Amino acid sequence: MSVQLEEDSFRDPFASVTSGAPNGRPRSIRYEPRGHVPGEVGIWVFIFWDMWLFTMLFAVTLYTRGQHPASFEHGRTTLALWAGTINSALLLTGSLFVVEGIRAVRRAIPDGIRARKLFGVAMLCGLGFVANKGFEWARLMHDHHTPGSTDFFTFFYVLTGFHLLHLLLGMAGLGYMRRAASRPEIGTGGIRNLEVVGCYWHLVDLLWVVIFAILYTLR
Amino acid sequence: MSRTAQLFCIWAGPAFIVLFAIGSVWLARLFPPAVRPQWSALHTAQWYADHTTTFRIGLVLTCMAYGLMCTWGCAMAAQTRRKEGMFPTWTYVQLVNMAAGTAQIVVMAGVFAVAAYRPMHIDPNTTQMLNDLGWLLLLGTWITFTVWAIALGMAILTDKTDPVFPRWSGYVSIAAGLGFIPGSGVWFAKHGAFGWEGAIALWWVFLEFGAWVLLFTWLSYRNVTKKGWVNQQDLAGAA
Repeated sequence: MSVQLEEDSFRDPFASVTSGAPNGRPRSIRYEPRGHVPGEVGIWVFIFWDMWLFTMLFAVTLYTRGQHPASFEHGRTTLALWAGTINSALLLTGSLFVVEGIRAVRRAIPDGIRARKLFGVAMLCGLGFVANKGFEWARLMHDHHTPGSTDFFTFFYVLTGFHLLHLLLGMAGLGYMRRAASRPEIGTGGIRNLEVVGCYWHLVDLLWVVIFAILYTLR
Repeated sequence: MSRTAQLFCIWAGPAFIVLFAIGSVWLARLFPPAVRPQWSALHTAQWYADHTTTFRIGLVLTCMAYGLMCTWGCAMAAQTRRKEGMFPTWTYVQLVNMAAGTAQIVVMAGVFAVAAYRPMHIDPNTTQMLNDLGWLLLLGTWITFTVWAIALGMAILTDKTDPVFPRWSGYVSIAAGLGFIPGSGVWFAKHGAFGWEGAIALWWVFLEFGAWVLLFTWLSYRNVTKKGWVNQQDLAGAA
């Protein structure tokens, strides 16, 4: 006796829709090598939304810094400038490898092996950042510089922690890129996704540079 | 699928905001917080004693508002569910998280109600603690809201054909979800931007949540009232 699945169960009304949209919108997103928005419009909405949040965070950081200059100056001297510098270098290098990786995919350099390697190096840079940040936090916590200890450290942990979360999401994105790059037919949708993750990774990079400037170097 | 049911759920969004404005902002004076984190326990308890009735009425309306919040969320989940086929995982994630979020935020209203139950008859320190508890629950437990917003965004972005909502709104939803995270600041700070009357932990989080609700209210309303979408769903159901 066969089970009459179709009668009882939910049927996806659009399962048979292959092209065109039920509401008449065209299926856009066509890949053009030049003169297009990198990724898609949506990721830029995301980037500006996120940058707006960080701008507010930076504004309140600088405002609080103006209120408690001593706390901030003392906090800054507690931080290891070299740790921040290494992290900046790691992220900037990672971004470069992401750019090169996307270029390699676009030029269809044999089987995406080169792209896989490049994205892998970018991931290693990200891992290095995470490890370095972990050591830095552990050292500060060991010296009793906790999120609640001074105004400076509240901001320090919020900014770097929130940034680290962004970076971890980006790492997941890079993992996806590594896998996607080796697919034989990546297609326009695949390239778009690569560009989306690439733009996001550059955002992570850019935000770190500002955080580094405000927390580690501003005297 | 019933167009009426969806419209009902969609309008719960703006209704939620209106009830919240009357209850939390006007009557209970939680926005901006009338009771400040740096106040002494006695000062806090005295404020509760002086404003007991309006505060309680405000909380009743706040409680109703939060109930409407997940009613509204169901309309979004119903929209994204239409494209997910037999195993609507993102829809499940939205549903469990909006339900958990509502449960937690209603408990928050209950905690504030307890703070206003016997002010000045009990130890002012206890009143202050309950007040703190209310705020730390309200702003610090963002995770369900974050996962809810991200699941809605992922449902849109992982749709390989034409998504129910425009793709950019998927990115907005994920950005909004991430934007709730600085609410954690209230667990650490007693003043400044991350305290529970601060620009980031309170204002940014709530304004962003409001903007997210209004955006998806508009997008869903557009979908449901447009010819085509709901009709196709009706045909599929009848077949």
